[in-house]
Amino acid sequence: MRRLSRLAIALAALATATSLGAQDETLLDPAKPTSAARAALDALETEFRAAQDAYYKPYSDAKSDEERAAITLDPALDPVPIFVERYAALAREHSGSAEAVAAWMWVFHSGSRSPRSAEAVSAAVDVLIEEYRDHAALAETVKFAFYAGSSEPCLRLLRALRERSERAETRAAATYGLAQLALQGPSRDEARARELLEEVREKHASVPFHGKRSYGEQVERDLFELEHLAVGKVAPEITGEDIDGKALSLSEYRGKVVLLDFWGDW
Amino acid sequence: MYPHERSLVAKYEAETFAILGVNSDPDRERIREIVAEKGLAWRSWWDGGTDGPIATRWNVRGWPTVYIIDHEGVIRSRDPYGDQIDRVLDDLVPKAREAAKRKTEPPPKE
Repeated sequence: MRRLSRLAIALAALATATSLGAQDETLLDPAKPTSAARAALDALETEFRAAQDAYYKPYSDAKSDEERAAITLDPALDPVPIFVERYAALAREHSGSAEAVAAWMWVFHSGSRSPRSAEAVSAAVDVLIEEYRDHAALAETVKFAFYAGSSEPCLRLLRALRERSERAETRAAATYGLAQLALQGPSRDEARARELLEEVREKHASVPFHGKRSYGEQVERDLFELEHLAVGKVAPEITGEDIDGKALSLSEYRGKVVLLDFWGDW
Repeated sequence: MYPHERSLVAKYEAETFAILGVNSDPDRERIREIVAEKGLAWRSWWDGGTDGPIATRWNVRGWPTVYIIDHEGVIRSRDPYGDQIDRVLDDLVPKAREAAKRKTEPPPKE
């Protein structure tokens, strides 16, 4: 469940990024509130969702964990490799637009989950680097590129954008993404992550990260996490009020094993 | 998550194990109702929203996020899932029990 909900958050963030692209374009060109490119992208997205729902239907139909565990899906029927081609075609047709960026990023993200799409992903990365590295729409969506994981195409995309994009937001996002990737997997390299985070702090502290938060503020959080929130570190004190308004501090529980659960009922 | 948490509260004695929540719902009244309705027998800080001060300091990116902290206050596990939680607790709770016993027993006579 936890894995799924994290993925859902990542995908929701992606969806927001895509719709932001649409808003920007509306602002730039009020005479054309819905462009042909936007309409085509929306239609393709709807079609993909339906194909994906159909493919994963055995899971949504399953009534228990046992039933779910027994399901095997035929990878030959996975809609992703087919749609990767269609998104790429759409991107080529509407070359230069914010939708083309969104479509190439779709190929990059969705294709990264399917081994059969490796070539298409690599081609998408080439185009994003060579044709779109300075594009405004890429600056927004590249923030989420590191969710694709520490794969060769993802590293190649972020390294190229960090070095070659003219946009500070894009360089900030690429550098920050590389720091996150350095922390993933068996080749976790904290020293490298720290270096990259410090580069973001030094060069891009005032660039907006998310909402009102800047990269400078976000990097402070990440550095605090590396320093104090890793396995083996003494947990920082938490003080405050419980939901009934009574004082509660973590240190009251010294001597007990504590399962600390950040939760929300939503 | 709730049924699993309830099973942990039932499995380990309150002297050596506790669940503490950091709740990120924006509406405190609603969350009090949910806690009462679902019989969640553990305390939670109320953090006021997903960008509350505790979640911010702990750099929480997704919910739920879980840490397991041992009886000496040291972080022993981050984001355990499924039966990993039980395995970590089965290792740590007896150690907390041992430490508590050493404290309450009178020191050996010379």
